[in-house]
Amino acid sequence: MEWDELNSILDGWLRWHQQRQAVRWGLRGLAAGLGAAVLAALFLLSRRLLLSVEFWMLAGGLALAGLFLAGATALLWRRDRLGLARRFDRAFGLRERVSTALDLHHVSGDDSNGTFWGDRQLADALAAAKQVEPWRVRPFRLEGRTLAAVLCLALILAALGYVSQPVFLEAQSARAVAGAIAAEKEQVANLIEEIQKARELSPEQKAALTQALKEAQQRLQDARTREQAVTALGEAEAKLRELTGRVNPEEAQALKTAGEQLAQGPDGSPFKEAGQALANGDTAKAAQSLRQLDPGSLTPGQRKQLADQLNQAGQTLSQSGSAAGQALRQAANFLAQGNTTAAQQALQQASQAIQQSGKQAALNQAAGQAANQLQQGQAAIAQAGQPAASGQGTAQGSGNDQNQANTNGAGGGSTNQASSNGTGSGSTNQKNQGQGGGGAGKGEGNGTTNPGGEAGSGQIAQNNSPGDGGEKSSEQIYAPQRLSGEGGPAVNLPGSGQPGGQVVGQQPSASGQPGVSQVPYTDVLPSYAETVRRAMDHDEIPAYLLPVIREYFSSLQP
Amino acid sequence: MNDDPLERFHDDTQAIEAEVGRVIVGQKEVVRLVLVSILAGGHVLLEGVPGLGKTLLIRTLSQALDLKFSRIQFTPDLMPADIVGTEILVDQDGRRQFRFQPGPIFANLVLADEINRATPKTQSALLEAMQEHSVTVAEKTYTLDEPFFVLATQNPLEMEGTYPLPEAQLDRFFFKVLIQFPAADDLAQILNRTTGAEASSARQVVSAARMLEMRELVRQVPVASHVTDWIARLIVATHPEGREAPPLVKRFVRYGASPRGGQALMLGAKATALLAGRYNVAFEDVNEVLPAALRHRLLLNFEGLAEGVDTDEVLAEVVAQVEPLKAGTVG
Repeated sequence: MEWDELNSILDGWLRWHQQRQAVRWGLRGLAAGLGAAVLAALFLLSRRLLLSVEFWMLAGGLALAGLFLAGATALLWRRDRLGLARRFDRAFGLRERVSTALDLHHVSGDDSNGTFWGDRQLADALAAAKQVEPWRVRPFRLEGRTLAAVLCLALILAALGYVSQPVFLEAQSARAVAGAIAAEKEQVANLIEEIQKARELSPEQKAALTQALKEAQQRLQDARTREQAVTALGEAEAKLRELTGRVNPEEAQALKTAGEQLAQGPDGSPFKEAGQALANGDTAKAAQSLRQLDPGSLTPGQRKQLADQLNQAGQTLSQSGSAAGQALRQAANFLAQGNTTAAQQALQQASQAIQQSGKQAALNQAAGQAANQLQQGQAAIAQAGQPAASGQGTAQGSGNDQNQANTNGAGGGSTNQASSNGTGSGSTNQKNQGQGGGGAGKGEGNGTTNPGGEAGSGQIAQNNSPGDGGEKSSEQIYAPQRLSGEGGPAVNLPGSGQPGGQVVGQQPSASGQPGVSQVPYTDVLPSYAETVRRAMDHDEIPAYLLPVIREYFSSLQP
Repeated sequence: MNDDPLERFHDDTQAIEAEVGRVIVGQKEVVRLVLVSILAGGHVLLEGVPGLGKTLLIRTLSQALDLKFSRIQFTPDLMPADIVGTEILVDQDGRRQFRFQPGPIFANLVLADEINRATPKTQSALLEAMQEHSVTVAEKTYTLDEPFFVLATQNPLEMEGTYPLPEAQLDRFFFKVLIQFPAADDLAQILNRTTGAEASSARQVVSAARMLEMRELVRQVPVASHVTDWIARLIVATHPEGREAPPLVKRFVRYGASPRGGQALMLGAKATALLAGRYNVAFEDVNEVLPAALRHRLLLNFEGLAEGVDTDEVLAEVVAQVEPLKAGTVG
């Protein structure tokens, strides 16, 4: 009974001791957690890897983890009962009474009970233990040093969080750029896959297209900064645009016209099918039809009629410089002479030339689409992580060109984040190629946008009004006569459609104000574009503005 | 009368101290240590200048304890036979025969005054009796009556012409108690008591048999394992090669306390615990008797002797160095 009572008192002391140790060690764990948070935060902040929310979560998480881990460990730590009894004797001034009682009990087991000394020593120990109130004898006090350490570290963390605001913004921007780069990498990979699947492209054409894209893909993989990624995409876009430049822009229209001419023949005309295919842009089908033609099966009258058609189509094509034009005219001549064999050979040549043109056009289209995608990617990366801008472009026109002002945002702000009408950047390119197969631009913005019509979804009508999404063939624009305002060098521009003409009117004007010169829009644009192209090639323009400028000039293309 | 043997013990010891205190002014610690030594069954070496009441103390104790008292004044010409006794030729029943004449050592409480003045041969005769509780004369052994205690004295002054006890012999003394010069208040009281018309004396408090019972009871006091462990660590720490030996020991001690010193610590702590009314030995009990138990057992090296190192200082550092419990706190 006395032994149980003494054990019960000892258990109470043990619980008291464990709770105090839990609080004491919990505080030490809190200090350790805060210290670890400071070190981790310094490391991550030095590498711009931490956002503000993450910083506070890291600090709070480590601090709480340290607190609970240390406290729980101290609370649950198994302690030697006899060892603690010895310490309790010292702490409470019991003169080794309790520990001797436990010692005697351990040595002689229950035999110590009932012995002379065992009974008396146990009774003496119990009587002394009953008088002890641990919380009075040893009132709990927090360790001053630990408390000071906790406060200091908390203050350091708070100060760190306060002064690191610029670092958080940098990290946010870097993360946005990384995300944009990753998204663009995926886009490029998708592009490569689409090109590989394209049946209208030859293996050589696919290789040419994918080479530039794969290089861009690899450089994006290695890119660590916004500028590196934008430069990689820009160079890849340039290479793709070179591929589009090998196409004769007039040939596409000439092929279509020639096809219409060939299709005008009477029903049953052997050229009708080829002509319709050519008029619809299906050069492969048209070439196949021409290959399958057998002039030997025609009557002399039919040969003459078809010769005329061929000659007409051939002249149309020759005007555009297409190799198929001469072949068609030769075929017409042979057909008129009745030399069906030669005529068939000439038709074969024409078929090959038309097929070649078709392939080149397909290459152009694919390259153009890919280039536009890359251009959009550049814009996305350039604008990733940038603060929102007002989106007001510096209008180059007379102040009414809402479309251009809203879509281009040439002031360097992010049009994606401002309200825009979302005219895709692919529209003008498609019009140039004459394929009319739909624009490649997606017309998307990152901010609030009112999605406009899909870029290049249709022919831009002539003689419409500003604000309709269309344009006039010539508009008033400001033609600066003095760069940098008054006193600057004179600028000579071709005027009135005459090559090499002088500027009409030389009244000095300040920049930003409408001048009195009036030149056709289409005459002025190429020289401006060339100037910009030279400036971009010579790294005179910041990388993050390149896509903006390209988009602007692309949208100006007639 | 209290039936509880431990409470009786406590009462008896308090009565002894009170009775001695009627005659001896002050020196309570000395009285306590001498009593502890007697209860533990050990002999005491008292060191103090002349006139401090050493003889009076021992005589008073013998009166209070009802012990047969004898005093031996050690001089350089004292012979061993003067201590243990000798055989004398006597006429008995018409025949001459030798009869053993016991010496002054045949008492319960022997005061060996200025033991360091006798020759080593004479000292050894006493020390043999202290160890064996018997004397051998003419090949016959005579057992000394129990209880048998020797309280020897030394004068720390006038060491010239003396024969200092060798360390091996010093080790046989349970305690070495230093008697300090009394304070002015105590001295005034001493003067009043000892120069008056009445001479005070102690009355018997306990009998010799009771002393033996009390001595037996002391040996039964339980000691916790960690206290025993601490005593052992203390003894080892008095040796310069000891793991926990402090710098002073390493520098000035040639040889530390023997296991006999540990026995003295343990028994002295037991007696102290009982005197305090406790049923177990505490660290404080060991601390209380440690200087008396060990100060004469440390052998200083030449540097220690030359520097005049006090062994009490060395022991204080040993106690400070050897923690009773391993590291850890409560609460």
